[in-house]
Amino acid sequence: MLIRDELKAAIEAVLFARGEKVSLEELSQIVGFTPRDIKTIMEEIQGDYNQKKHGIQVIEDNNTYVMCTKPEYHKVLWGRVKIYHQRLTAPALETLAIIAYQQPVSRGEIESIRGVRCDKTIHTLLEKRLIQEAENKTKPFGAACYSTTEEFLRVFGLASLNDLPELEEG
Amino acid sequence: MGYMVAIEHFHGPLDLLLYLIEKNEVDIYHIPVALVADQYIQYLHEQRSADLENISDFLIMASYLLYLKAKALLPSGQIHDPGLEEDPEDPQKELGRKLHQYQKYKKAAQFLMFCQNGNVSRCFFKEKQGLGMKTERVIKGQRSALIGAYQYILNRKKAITFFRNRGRHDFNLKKQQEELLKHLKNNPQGIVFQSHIQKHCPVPEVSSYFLALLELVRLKKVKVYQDRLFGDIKIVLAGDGALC
Repeated sequence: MLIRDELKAAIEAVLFARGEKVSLEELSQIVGFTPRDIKTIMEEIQGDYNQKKHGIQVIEDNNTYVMCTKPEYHKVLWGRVKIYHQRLTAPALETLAIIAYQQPVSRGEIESIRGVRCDKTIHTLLEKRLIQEAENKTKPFGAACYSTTEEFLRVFGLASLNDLPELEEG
Repeated sequence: MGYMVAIEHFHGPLDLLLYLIEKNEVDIYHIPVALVADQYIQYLHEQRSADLENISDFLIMASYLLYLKAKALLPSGQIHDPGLEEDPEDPQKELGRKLHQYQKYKKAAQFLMFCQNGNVSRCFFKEKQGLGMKTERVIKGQRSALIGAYQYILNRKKAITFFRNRGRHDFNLKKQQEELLKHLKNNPQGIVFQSHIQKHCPVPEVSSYFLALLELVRLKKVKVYQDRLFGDIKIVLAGDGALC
C-alpha cells in the first residue's frame, strides 16, 4: 500500500527535521490521521528501524517520539562529535541525580539528602537548562520543585528517564 | 591520622562521613560513633583555612556526632526522662539511613558522570531546528533594531575618541576672569557669553570660562541676564571693571 509507505515517510521527515520529541497528537495533526492510526504506524516504523541495520532508531517516551542514534554506535560517534564540553562538577551531578530520580523534588528535600545547601548548584543547573521548576502536585502551595528537562536527556544521551539505571539497594 | 584528603574534595558532611566509614571498614548502620566523631572533628581542625560558608554544613554534622557520642557514653536508662518524649527512632539508625540514601544518589551521580565522560553507550540527538509549534527558543529579529544598535555603538565610539583626544588642559581662571572684564570694559553695553566663546572651542575651555563667569558674578563684578533656557547669556559690567 503506497499511501501507507508515504505516510511513514512523511512522519520520518517530520521526526528528522524536528530532532526533538514530537507528540502523537501533533503528528496526527501534521499528517492528518487519527492518533490511533499514527500509533500503529509508529510501531511499524520502530519495527523497521529495529529489524534492518540502521544507525538510527525512533524511540517512544510517554506518547512522544524522537529520532536518535542507536547506543551500539556510541563508539563510532563519541569523540568525533562535539557534544557537551562544559563538564558538570561532582556536586552538580549529585544534585542532578537526586532531581532525576526523585522529580518533582524540592530544594529542601535535595539538601536533606545531600546534607549541604544546594542553592548554587540548583542555580547552575537551571541556567544550563538541565532542570526546570516543576509543578508541585503533592503540595499545591508548597516550595518550588524541580524536574529534569528534555535538554538533560539530550546532554546525557538518554532516550527517556527509564534509561536511568535502577538505584542500587543495600 | 596520616594522609589526609583535603576537605574541599568532599561534597558535604555526609560525603566525608562515608569516607571515614569506608576507611574504618565499618557498617553504615553500626558506626563506632566515638571513633568516627573524633576523626571527623580532627578533619575540621586541620582545615581551619577553609571558608566559613562551606564549613558550616560540616559543623552541624560535627555537633550531631558529638551529641551521639555523648549519648553513647551515658549509661542507658539514666538519660530517660519520662517527662521528655523519646525519639521514636534511634538517632544512629536515622543517620545510617541518611548515609545509605546519600550513597545511593552518589552512585547515581557517578552514572551521570560516566555518561558525561562517554563511558556509557548512549544515544545521540540531532540539534533542534526550531521547527516546532512551540516557538519559545526562536528569536524574532528586527533589521531596524540591529542598525540602531550598530549606530549607537558607532556614536559611542566617536564620543569616546572625542574625549580621549582631548587630553589634559590647563586653564587659568584668574586670567580668564581678567580677560572677560577687559572685554566688558571695551564693550560697555555688554557682551554675550556665547559669542565670546569661539566656535570649536574645546569643552573643557568652555567650562572653565563659565566657571570664571560664575566667579565674577559671585564677586559682584558683573551682572548676567538670560531671558530663556539655553538662550544668550548677556553680561554687563557691575563695578569699575577692576578685578581686585
